[in-house]
Amino acid sequence: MEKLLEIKNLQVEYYKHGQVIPAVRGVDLNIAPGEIVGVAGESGCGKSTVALSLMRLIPEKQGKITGGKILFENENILDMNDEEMRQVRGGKIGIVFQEAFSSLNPVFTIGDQIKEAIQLHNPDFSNKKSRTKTLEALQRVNIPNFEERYHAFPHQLSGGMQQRAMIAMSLSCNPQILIADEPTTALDVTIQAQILDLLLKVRKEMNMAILLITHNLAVVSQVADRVAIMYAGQIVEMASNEQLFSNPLHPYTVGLLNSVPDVNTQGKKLAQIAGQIPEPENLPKGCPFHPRCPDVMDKCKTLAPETLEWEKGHFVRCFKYSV
Amino acid sequence: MRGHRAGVKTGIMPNLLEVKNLKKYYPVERGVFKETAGYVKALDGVSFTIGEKETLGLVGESGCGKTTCGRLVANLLKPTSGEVLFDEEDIFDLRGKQLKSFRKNAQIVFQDPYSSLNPRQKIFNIVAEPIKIHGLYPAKEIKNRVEELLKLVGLSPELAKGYPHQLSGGQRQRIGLARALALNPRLIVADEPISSLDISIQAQIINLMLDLQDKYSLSYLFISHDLGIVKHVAHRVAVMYLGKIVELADTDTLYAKPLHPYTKMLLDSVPKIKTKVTPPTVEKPATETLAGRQNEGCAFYSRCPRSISRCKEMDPLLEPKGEKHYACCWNPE
Repeated sequence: MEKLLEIKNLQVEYYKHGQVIPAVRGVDLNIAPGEIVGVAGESGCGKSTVALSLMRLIPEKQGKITGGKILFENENILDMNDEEMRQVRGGKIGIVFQEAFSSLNPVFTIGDQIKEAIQLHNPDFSNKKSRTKTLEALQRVNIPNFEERYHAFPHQLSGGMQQRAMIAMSLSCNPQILIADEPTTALDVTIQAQILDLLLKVRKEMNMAILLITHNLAVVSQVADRVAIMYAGQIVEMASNEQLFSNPLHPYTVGLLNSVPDVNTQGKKLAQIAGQIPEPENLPKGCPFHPRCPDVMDKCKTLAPETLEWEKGHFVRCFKYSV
Repeated sequence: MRGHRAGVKTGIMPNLLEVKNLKKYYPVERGVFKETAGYVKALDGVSFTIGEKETLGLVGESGCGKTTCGRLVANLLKPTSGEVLFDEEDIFDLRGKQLKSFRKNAQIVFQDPYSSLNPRQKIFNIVAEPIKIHGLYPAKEIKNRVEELLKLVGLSPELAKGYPHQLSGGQRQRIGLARALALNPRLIVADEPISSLDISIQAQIINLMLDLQDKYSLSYLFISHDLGIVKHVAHRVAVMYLGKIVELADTDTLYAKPLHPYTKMLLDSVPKIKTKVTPPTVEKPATETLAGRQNEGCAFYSRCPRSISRCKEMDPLLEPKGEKHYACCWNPE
């Protein structure tokens, strides 16, 4: 398979009160052109940190990428100088954050903000051309009356429209990959459906790859081609959409899927995963999931399992599946 | 109706709570002299009942007035007009001892477990305060009661010595529940009790709430935007749109045969696991908001796929369309 982006053994640490907190502990992930890869997990599992690392946006004093490689078109993003990185960030890789309102600048119109992004990445564009490109970007994300909305300030738009404007901005420079970090979490379900639909549409039109980061398994199962489940800074299971949701292997994935109420659980107690999500600074020894795992074995308590390929394209990090 | 409690029959249960034509308008002030320029009709004539040991789910999108409704039922806000009858007495007429007794019987659990616990108080004090105020237990027994409550919600009594910041989101929400249960209430208004929690923790809190309902015959007004969760916990469901209930029915009926186009749109929009890409269900964007709402015609008119000419002219009323199934629509499914 052709690889557009390849993350190899990524490690990220944060620093708090002189303490080292491992946030991402060896993540391997690759994305092909035009592919949608979903990364799902609960809060604190490191999924957003992976997204920020791809853009080299980890705040310098708070944390650091301590190991691994991020190859984009066979070039390591982590070795790039600031000028090269600026070309990638917002140019070849776009990002959309969870809260559109706090990501947009409240004192500029959305049109001006999108135009700024276009001009920064295309210094040779005339003012008029940038403006045309901006209008195209607004139109592409189905903003009604886009010519009027060009002059709207963020607070004049609804949450869904703000998120569309954010997506328009990220797409304005024709990125090859769009990182969408919880793009629909702050939105109502009807608006969420619209935004997911929009992501699918632009993927098709622009043959763009999307890294979709979310805690919502249903959202992932609707749009992703492949899915990675993260727990405590590691990918514990990775498979195609169909493999993962029809045949989940890792006890954590199984637990998560059972915790989501659906038609079949109505009237029954929800299967729950016992215990708490471990704090990153206090990870249990061995497999980080072992204190909550229903299938725990002795060796899980002392040894950390490695990732293995259970069937073609279906990876799992669990001793249950090692022979 | 939930299968594991088939003995509980809706309709036969005596009504614990009856909400009648409840309205809450917020004035919109303009200019230097703060003249009232109009009203935001956060709640515009809402009626429903909740029986003993029943869970009524209240669903709707942000800004539809569901939280306002919860706060009115808990008597934390005063209505513009309308009544809330608890044990057949209007809670807004209650004073003194009677009001205190209502507060004991109706408790509320808030959405955000981070801002709803006082960060300067120890867990013990947070849970013990309502007990002290209502003098339910002699001073010597308060400690035991708090420990009992913490165990009840699945926490170690040791935590009583700690502060809220030492707890995780799920643990805090359990404290919120323990505080609400401290007074042996009969009704709990749960305002999005799990939406700020992780999936694996959500299931724990939901199971806990169902256990507690069985054990103490609690009634819940369960407010949520998550239709999946509501389906799981509620016996009956009311769907709100722009300050009004547009549909009210038994849970099974509502999910199987939604009558109102808005309910249908909501249900279609919920992403489900293992179904590949659904076709776009929402063609028309939301143009109406509470603030900009027109008085004439149906509030949902501009987004509705089934609108007929009548919808623009006259506002429909919530009327029975089937057995225990109410909808507010001129042209239901």
